Amino acid sequence: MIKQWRFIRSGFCDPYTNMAIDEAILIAHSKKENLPTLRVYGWKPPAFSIGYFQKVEEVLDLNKCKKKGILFVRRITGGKAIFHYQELTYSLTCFKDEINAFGSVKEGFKKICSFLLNAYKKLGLNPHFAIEIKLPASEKSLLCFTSYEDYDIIINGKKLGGNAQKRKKDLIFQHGSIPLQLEIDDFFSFLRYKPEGLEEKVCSLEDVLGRKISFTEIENIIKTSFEETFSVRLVEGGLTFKEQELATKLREEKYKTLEWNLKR
Amino acid sequence: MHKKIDLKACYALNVLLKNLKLHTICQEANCPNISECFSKKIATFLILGNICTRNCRFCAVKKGKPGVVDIEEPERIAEAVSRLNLKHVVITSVTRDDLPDGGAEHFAKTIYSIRKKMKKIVIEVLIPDFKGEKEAIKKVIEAKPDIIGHNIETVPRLYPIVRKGANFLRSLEVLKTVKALSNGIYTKSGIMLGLGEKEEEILEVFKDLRKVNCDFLSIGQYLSPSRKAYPVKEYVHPDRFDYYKERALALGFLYVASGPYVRSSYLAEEYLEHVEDNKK
Repeated sequence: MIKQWRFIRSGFCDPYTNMAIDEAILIAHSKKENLPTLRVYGWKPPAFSIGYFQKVEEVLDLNKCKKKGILFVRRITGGKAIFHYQELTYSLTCFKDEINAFGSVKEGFKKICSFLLNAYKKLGLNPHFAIEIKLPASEKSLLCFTSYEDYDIIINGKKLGGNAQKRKKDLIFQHGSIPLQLEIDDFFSFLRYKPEGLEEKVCSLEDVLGRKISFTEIENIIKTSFEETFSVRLVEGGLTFKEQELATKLREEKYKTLEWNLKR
Repeated sequence: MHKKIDLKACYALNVLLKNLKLHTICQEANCPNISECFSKKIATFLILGNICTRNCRFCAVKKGKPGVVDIEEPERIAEAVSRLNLKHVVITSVTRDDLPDGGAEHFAKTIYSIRKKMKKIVIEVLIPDFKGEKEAIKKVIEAKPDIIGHNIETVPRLYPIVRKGANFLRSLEVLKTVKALSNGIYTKSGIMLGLGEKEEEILEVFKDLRKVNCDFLSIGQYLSPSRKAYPVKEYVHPDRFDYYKERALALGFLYVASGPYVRSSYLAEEYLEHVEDNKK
């Protein structure tokens, strides 16, 4: 019997809600209380997410963020900062055996990111993993989209989006961002460290497609690609009651708090 | 298409339910649509407690010996419905085989209480089989809900396996009785796919439901609500739900909702809206 996963299209939520929902799904799955889940979502209002190990004050001009009402939230995954605007974020929660992602973390990363590679191929693009085209190691950057990892996706020599993973024994949690449009000016002024030549290093889907792409179109392509890549069926659904209650608690008691967001 | 999850709205609804000491089937049965419905401040109320006297293997509701009937519950349900300003409310219950009338009087009181507060609201009740007692069914009919539902749940062959204590023919008889005794009350039923039924059995159930003039039908994928519950035997392809919908509509149902995540009270307002639209 074909394996079933849950597919949640939760639309646009605030940054605290988004992170709280992801963690609630992860906790419920660790107790085997839900199906493995692929969730796709957007951010409203646009906001920064910061990698778990980053120091927010080193990445963002917090005074300016406060003045302009730009929110930020710390993720449970590592990686670098992302400005979530005109993009789609996905999160994936499963056990290793539910996606046959055995082997090293790197191998697992390659395996999981292959659904993105296939999604971009479906759009007629020619994507590669960074390791395949032997991109030189990037300079240390505080921004996700400007630093290369082996299994980041490169199109026309530029990085498209970014992904980060968290593992807990056999449990895998990965999320990633797919920029639909990228206007560097939208977020540049909020950064403490301003990377040079950003335009030459990063791209959005619209840049490489040469046309507009809607949130729903990419959602649907992601869904189909995921089903085909992993031979699973994604059944559309929402949170369980337990997840909903947990997410509410996590939003209020964790992700909204400065204690969490300024942790390091 | 997006099912925005509004945690604030979900929380507000949880608080309201807790304050009014009310249960919902959404919570008790681990409904997969709960975040979508609660975000829209919609809930299906569960009356007569949250402990069921039957032992259906597909259902997550607690089983055991229920407590005494809370006679003030109908008023509190009406209060919740009024505060939420619902235009369509669905009321269901656990099965109460321990009560002489199966809880029919309590259903009726709940309907009266809601109607007293909100004259124009559409009231849908999803009733148990009341052991087939006509007098009990009559009590509910007399309270004049707009829709009376009774779920057939599965095909007759699987009743002894997953729905012990129920009887396929008795369930059909409940729907038949509602039609025979009521004037203008719509009837509705629901079936789950993926419990191990075959296509010909499903189509036969559709025909049986139409023979008793059932108006509305919901068709959804069975999802095991817990590890203890009956396992899913098949994940039915979404295209098959469209196929079954067409087959059911061809038999004369007024409206059919069919899809993996369809549940009997999911988007309940759509059934009647569809009928009203067709009248225009």
